[in-house]
Amino acid sequence: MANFNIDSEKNRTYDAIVIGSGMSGGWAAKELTEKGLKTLVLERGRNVEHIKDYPTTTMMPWEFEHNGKVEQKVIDENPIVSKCYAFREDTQHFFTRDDVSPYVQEKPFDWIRAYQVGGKSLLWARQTQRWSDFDFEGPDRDGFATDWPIRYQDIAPWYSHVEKFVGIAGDKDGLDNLPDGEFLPALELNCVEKYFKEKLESQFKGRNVISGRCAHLTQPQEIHLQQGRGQCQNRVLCQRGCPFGGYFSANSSTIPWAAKTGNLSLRPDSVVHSIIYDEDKGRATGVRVIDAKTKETIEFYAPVIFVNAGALNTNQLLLNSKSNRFPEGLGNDNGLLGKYIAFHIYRARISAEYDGFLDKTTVGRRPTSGYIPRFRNVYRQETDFLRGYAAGFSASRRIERSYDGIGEELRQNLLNPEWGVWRVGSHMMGETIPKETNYINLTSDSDEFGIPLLNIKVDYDDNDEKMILDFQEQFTEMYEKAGFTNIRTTDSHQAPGLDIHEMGGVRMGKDPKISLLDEHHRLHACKNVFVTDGACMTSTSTQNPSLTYMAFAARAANFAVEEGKKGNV
Amino acid sequence: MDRRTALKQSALMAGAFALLPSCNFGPDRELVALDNLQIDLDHQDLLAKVIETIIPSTEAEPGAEALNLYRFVLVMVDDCEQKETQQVFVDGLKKFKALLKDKVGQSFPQKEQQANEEILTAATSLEGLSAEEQPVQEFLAIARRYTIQGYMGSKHYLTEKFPYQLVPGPYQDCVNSDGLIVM
Repeated sequence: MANFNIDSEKNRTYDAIVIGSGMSGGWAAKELTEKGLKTLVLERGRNVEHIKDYPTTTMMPWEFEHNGKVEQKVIDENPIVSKCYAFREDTQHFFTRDDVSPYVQEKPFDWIRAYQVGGKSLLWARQTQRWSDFDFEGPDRDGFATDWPIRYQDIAPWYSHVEKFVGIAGDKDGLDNLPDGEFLPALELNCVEKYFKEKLESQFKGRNVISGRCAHLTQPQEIHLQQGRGQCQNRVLCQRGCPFGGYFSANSSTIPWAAKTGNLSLRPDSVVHSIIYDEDKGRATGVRVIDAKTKETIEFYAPVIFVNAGALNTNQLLLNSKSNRFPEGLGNDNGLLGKYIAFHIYRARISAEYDGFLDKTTVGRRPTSGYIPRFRNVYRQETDFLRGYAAGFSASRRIERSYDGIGEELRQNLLNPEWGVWRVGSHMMGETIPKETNYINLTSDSDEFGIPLLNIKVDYDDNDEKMILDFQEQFTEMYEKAGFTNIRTTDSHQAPGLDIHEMGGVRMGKDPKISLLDEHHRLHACKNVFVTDGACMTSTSTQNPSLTYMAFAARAANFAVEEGKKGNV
Repeated sequence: MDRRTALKQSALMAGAFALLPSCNFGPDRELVALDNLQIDLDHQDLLAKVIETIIPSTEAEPGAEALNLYRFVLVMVDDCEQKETQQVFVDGLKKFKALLKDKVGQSFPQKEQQANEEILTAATSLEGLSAEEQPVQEFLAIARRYTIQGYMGSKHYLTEKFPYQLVPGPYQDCVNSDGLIVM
């Protein structure tokens, strides 16, 4: 019996454990397994295998019973997730339902979750803009949050490393505030987008329109073919999962790549309850897992642990990892774990019409849009609010169709649409200032796995409201100067969370007294636990964050491997 | 259903209507399985006739009947509408015939498509209806909206009329729109 236990423990011991299999966990797994570490990836949701588990991916529109619409019963039972723009009849099976491990909203917060192998990497918007030092230096220059312990030069080679493997379509635009990367051919802006680019750039210094850099294979390279991925076909049905592997997801790329090394053990349906801390050794030794199907508790062990559970889940897990040494959660000596949660402001939009280029249109579909990098407060503080916003920009030719009449007249109306003017639109992506008063913590209620429910208290502030008004004013002026008409601005007043860019709670920093992670993503107080998902973010900037998480994960994983070689882990 | 079958069916339907103007669909008619709407076969047939009036099947073109749009309308109202809307829809459908008799002085359906169109148009434009009677117009509006959606989302429309491309090929960022089919 004793031998059996020893064997069993040995069988449950790995060189590294990665908690989470999505955007950042997939990257940690890829790097660690490539470097020869026997790696266990724990995923709380079900397995989703590339292509095989994309049930709707080749369905025609008329094959859906409800023409793409989600049933009212599902909306009634899932008021939170059904607010997500990507939650549709063809994609809803990749989203987590509201009643799974629910949470408490001390303030309204729409937490969009995707518990499955691949996580939200199946569903993301695939925009991949780099950060620059104008972003990393923000907190220090403007006196908020705490200084990032790293700068652009630390992460730049890892951006390149990730971009080459992922495959990023983009132009080398030569902008200070949005560094160029390793690009495949860009997806083209259309005539009205190019017209706006020219109007904007000639009339407003420092304001640019570029083709949004995105994780699509416009010209697959050898490394992509080796992954079994091929050319993006512009289907723009990405959130169903792509049978061509045309866009990057953990499912199509990092997870199968890690599996090919022979060093990966992937365990779906494995909810990590807590990380085990050994007081004598002064480090984490493993994790307690609850099998989602049998509810059995199993322990797994490794000298290196990567936490990539998703920003808020990572906070929840660390808060729930209590020991004598860390009664308030693993690494939480300063009481700041779960605090300084931030997000992106996606409330405001603007739309308008343009009656030029009436002899032109576009054909086909395009999986990106124009992108306007942050222009506010880049080089110096110039407004009465801190930081700024980036924005999308896209134009498409309108189609006019009458829905009047009955019988043959109606049919003829439906069969004979006409070209209208061009429609243009932008949405803001605003930086929020992380604050101690925006936090998450554990409640006394537990979910079906005995894990305390998360309480979320995150809200907008004055800075956010001023920024929203500024976006509306500036874009109205920019649109007017381009000759656009029928300009309309809207504010959805959506709750934080629906941006699906929640960040922070386990922030990086130089000083252990006011941060949780060091410059290598290790907990200051428990050096063999790494956090490289959204939880590590010290500030948010304006860029869609996934590319940065991936680069962080790759950088930290390689650091962990090097430390291991030196015998430091 | 491919185009040929659709055409054949629409031809058959046209024949059937000529023989059976009382809107009985024959012995094979079946209730669509629904979770929320309480509708009997006669009302289902009546709905089908209303929808066929909105977008008729002709020899040249499949319409509501050939494309089974009454089924789409029922499923959408049953699955994708709130309870209150479902009640108004059923209520309006059930009061439809009586209202026509009262306020338009006609029975529905008539033999001719044009007569049916005139009746529906008249019913839609009635003014000063009581709260009891109003659901009829709301029913017609809902039926019309889903008939149009079902038609434009049908395989026929998206293959024969405005072919949907699952794999559309390269994006063309700026082409001449003259003579180009409007999608």
